[in-house]
Amino acid sequence: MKKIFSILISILAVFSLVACMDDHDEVNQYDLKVFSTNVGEVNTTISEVKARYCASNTTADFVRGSSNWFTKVTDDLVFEGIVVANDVSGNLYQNVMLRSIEANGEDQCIILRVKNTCLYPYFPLGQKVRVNLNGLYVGVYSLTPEIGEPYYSSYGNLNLGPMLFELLKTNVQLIGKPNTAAPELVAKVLDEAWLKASANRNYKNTPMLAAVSGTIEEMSEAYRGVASQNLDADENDDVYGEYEPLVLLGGQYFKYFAPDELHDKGYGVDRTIVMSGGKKVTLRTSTENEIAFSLMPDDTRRYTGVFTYYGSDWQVQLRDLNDIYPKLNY
Amino acid sequence: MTKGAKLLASLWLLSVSVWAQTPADSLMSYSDNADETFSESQLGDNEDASQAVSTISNLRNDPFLSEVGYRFSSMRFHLRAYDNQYNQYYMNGLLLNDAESGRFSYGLVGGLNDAMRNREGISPFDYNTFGMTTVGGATNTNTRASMYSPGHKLTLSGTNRNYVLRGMYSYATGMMANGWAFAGTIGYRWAKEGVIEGTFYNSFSYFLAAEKRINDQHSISLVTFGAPTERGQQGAATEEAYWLANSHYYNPNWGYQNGKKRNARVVKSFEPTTLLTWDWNIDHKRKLVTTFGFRYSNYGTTALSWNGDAYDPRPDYYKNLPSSAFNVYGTNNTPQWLSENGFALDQWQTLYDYWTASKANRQINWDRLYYVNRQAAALGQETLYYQERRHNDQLVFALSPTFSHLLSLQSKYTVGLVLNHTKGMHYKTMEDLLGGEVFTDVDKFAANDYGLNSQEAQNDLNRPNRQIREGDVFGYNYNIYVNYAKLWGLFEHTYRHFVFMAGAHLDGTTIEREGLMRNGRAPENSFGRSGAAKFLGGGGKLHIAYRINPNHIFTLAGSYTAAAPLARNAFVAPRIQNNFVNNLTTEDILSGEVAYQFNIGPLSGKLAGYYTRMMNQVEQTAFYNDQESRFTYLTMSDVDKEYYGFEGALKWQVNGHLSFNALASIGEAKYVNNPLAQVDYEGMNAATIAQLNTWENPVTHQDQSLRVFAKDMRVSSTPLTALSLGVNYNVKGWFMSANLNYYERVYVGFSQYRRLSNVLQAETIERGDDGVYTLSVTPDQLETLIEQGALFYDKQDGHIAFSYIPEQERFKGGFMLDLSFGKYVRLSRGKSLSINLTLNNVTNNRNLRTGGYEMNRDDYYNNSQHTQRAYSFSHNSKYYYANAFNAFLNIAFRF
Repeated sequence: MKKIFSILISILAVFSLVACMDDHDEVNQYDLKVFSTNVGEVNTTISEVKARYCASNTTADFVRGSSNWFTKVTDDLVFEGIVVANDVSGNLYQNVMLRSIEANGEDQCIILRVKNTCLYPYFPLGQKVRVNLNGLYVGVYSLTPEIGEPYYSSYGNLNLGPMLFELLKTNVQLIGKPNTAAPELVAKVLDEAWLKASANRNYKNTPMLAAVSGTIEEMSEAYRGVASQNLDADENDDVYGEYEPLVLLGGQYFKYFAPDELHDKGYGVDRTIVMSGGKKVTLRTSTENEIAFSLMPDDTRRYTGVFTYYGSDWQVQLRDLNDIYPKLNY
Repeated sequence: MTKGAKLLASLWLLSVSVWAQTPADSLMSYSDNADETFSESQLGDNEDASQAVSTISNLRNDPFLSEVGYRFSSMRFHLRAYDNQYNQYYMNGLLLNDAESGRFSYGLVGGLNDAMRNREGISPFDYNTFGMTTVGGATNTNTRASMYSPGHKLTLSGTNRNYVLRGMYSYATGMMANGWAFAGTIGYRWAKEGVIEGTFYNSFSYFLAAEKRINDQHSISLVTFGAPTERGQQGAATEEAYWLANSHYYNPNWGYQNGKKRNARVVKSFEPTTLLTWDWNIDHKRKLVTTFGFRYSNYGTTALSWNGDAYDPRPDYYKNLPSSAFNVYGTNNTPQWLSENGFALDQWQTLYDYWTASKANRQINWDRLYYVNRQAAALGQETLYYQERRHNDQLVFALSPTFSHLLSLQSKYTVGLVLNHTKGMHYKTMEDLLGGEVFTDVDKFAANDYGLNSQEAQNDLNRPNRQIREGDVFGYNYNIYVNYAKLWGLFEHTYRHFVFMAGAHLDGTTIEREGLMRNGRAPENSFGRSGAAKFLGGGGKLHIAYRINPNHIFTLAGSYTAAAPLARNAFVAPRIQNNFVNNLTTEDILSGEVAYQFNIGPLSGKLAGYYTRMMNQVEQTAFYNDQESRFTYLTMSDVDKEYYGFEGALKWQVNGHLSFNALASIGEAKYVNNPLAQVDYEGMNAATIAQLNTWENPVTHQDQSLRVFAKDMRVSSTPLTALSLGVNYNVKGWFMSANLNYYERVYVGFSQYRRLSNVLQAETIERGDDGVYTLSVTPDQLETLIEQGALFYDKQDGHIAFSYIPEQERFKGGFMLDLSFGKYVRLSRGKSLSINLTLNNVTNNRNLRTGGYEMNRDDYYNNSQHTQRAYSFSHNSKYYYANAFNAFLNIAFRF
């Protein structure tokens, strides 16, 4: 029995020595390998970049129609901007918007497109970003000034799209910590006269962090009980021809901002903000995010977001639900 | 003793120093040879069930089956291409195969080679006294304490495989005068880093046996064993990733955290098992053996997971690969296209440079995951990346009384009863929040489809929006109950020239699910019991051997079995709901074999042909569906498969020292019909899923049953042709062997999703007046149709006139040379020392694929333009490669 006892003791001894190998220290020093640590000295501004590459397509490397063009930058053009919009809610996709208010009063924004989802931890609001454009492409996509790289869309069109995430390592540098009190984070409040003026629809004013107040047309008395039918999706799409759901709440019908049943070829849904004087602004929302599944209010609210224009129409995309004021309460 | 111990220690240290320095450049190690043992492949490495070889061990009277497992294990050879569930493993007469998956977990006895040495192998049609074997045969291990030779044994091993070092100590008393016998083994296997980079191995094992011989008739044996193990896993990768990493042994599962390597997929398992056996020798002709078994398995695998819209953190995610920017093998690779689209080549180069600039770039960036989570937490957002542990625990009670009766010298029979109750416990826990702070138990896919505040988003409506901390259960939690009873019997009668054997069995099985969460996608049928599905099975076998004389034996055998489907395939979406799959019925297996075994002077051998047809089977795959970005269950029912082929073994005994041998297995294993299919996405509710499972005929516009066009697809990940030539030489305690093996016809695992009737492109075609269908497409279009697959519907009546089904990739064959050397030294006072050195793949062939699988996604966007994606999923399957050169030195000292 002694031998058996010895064996048992040996087993216990060995077992106690077998330590877990899958133990790891918490990360305290990040080795992100994501951003550049030095992209060079600032030598230009967002305004100058847009003026050079987005004002017209006459010198662009590639032109598709009158609304899409881009040019490859071959110089070390370095500018700074503050992140004023990102994809925190998922409503913006592979986009962050940079804004810079210069000493001379120039106040312009540009979209930085990056091939990655959930960019907001890397680009929180108020973060100063320095970008070296060398090797990147600058131009417009549907007349919206952007920085990125070309890509072929699912419909085979060549557009200016997101740059490779790996290029952040060579072309993008974060400067300091995010400043949530940065003046760039204050949205411009637009009135109807400004929106109606055709002179304001130019590359300088798009994109832009701005706000308008109004009601949602689809929630007006005339439309709130009427479900829209989807005739904008691809004909191969399951939702083509479907009707949006109506939600009965307190004896009234409500609608979602962007029900999947209504998505178009770009997986978004357009609603209409009607301002007090009748001026309309398109409210575009992607499906599959917290805004999309929220019920639209039937009263006047202020909507803040990324403003762009196309033709004679202005369009706004909200950054998250906090861009609706007063806040939704259902 | 001192001399032997010194010698042993010196050799062990030498082996460690040699093999630890071998470049870490070998793949899945599941075959390492120890002394007197060939099935270390099964016992040693605890690989996933799908990777373990399927063989019968210690089948000494069959020259083919006794060799094939050992010889071909490097290529994951499966006997007759059968799944491992058809290879049974018994211990003291008790079947230990898992009742849910049908397979035996070799991790159960990992590191216990000495304890598992007393084995008896049984071919599919042989008479035995422990069970009704299936078409793959069986192994029975006798672990009664009195069966072990008295004394001590110390075994030390060094290798360059999954682990680097192994130590085992065994002791047995033998049957003592007081009627007691004891035996025990402890073992430890270790590798800080296995031969595959980023893997590790940490396994302790124990075995204890006690036996009390009460009198000449009765004895009681108690055995308990287990092998708590922790190991890091390797993952398959595409050829492009292997090329970028400049190694066929690239492992995407690990990355650096604080500068140290961390594996994302870590298995922790511990399956303590206890067997109590009562042997009752009623008289010299009758014997009753009753074994009661209990097992409590803890088995969990970690996986990196992500939330919301977070970017896929896997380093080899296709969007991170250069070919996602530009497919250099595509039709666009022309000077003209590139001159107009220079950006594509630039992007390709950027990604190529990134991948090849440093090793860290092509591995998981743990630091980044922590950073992102902490940033998200600071913004009040949910944790984006986390590590979960998926548990598949089991509680098993089994009882197996077996009665054997020797009626006469010519006749004998055995009858037995098998009772098994298995409770499978399946759930996942939060292993590591990776610096995150907030995690709510909702389904990310359902939240995208139905909204975060929807009922569908909830994983457990009984505890909605539960905040999850590390260690908490979340996502899914359910039990599967399997009750199994089998009554069986075998009878054998020997005539002068004939041996006749017949067997029959009758069995009943119940399968039931118990949901412990009320899932928001299936609120009415996810919580509580599903009700039991009941299956009555049975079958029989016949075996006739004609012995012209002892040197020439012809055998003819056949069997038929109706068996319950496996519990793991029985539910539509077991993580979510209680529904059984459609067309769930007993599976039919028909099998036959004809063989000739001979001894002609120095030449001996066996030639055999076999045919097996499996019918009405159910198979389920669960995978992340890249096409739909959802976790998907795809179940095939009414599956018919055929297995047939030739097996041969020849041995030429030149003299007492030298022999040559040859081994061949040439077979076919394929699907012979287009099974019915049922699809379920985890994140969708019942109404949406119902739409998924309809397939509208484009001509008649009638809904049809969904099918997988699987006809003629081969069983994957095993060579269907395996040939071997060997030589053995032994003299004065030394022995040497060399085997040259050739492998061919290994197929990639085909994607059932890509061959679904509603995924294959639908085309209509008109039959001409001459009755001939004419396809009017350009050669390029035809090539695309053939590659991607298409169904052509007759324009008149809508029947499928013909089809192109995507071809299944067949890997290139190749040779592998294995060498083995050994020496047995008899020392004084009954002590002995044995030394074995096995060298596998001596020519270092690094290009032999052992298996792989296709991606579940096609090459086109699902829109009216049917635009081709830049990344070609159909040309980027994921592969495993056979081990590079590897060695195993084993030193055993008996004292």
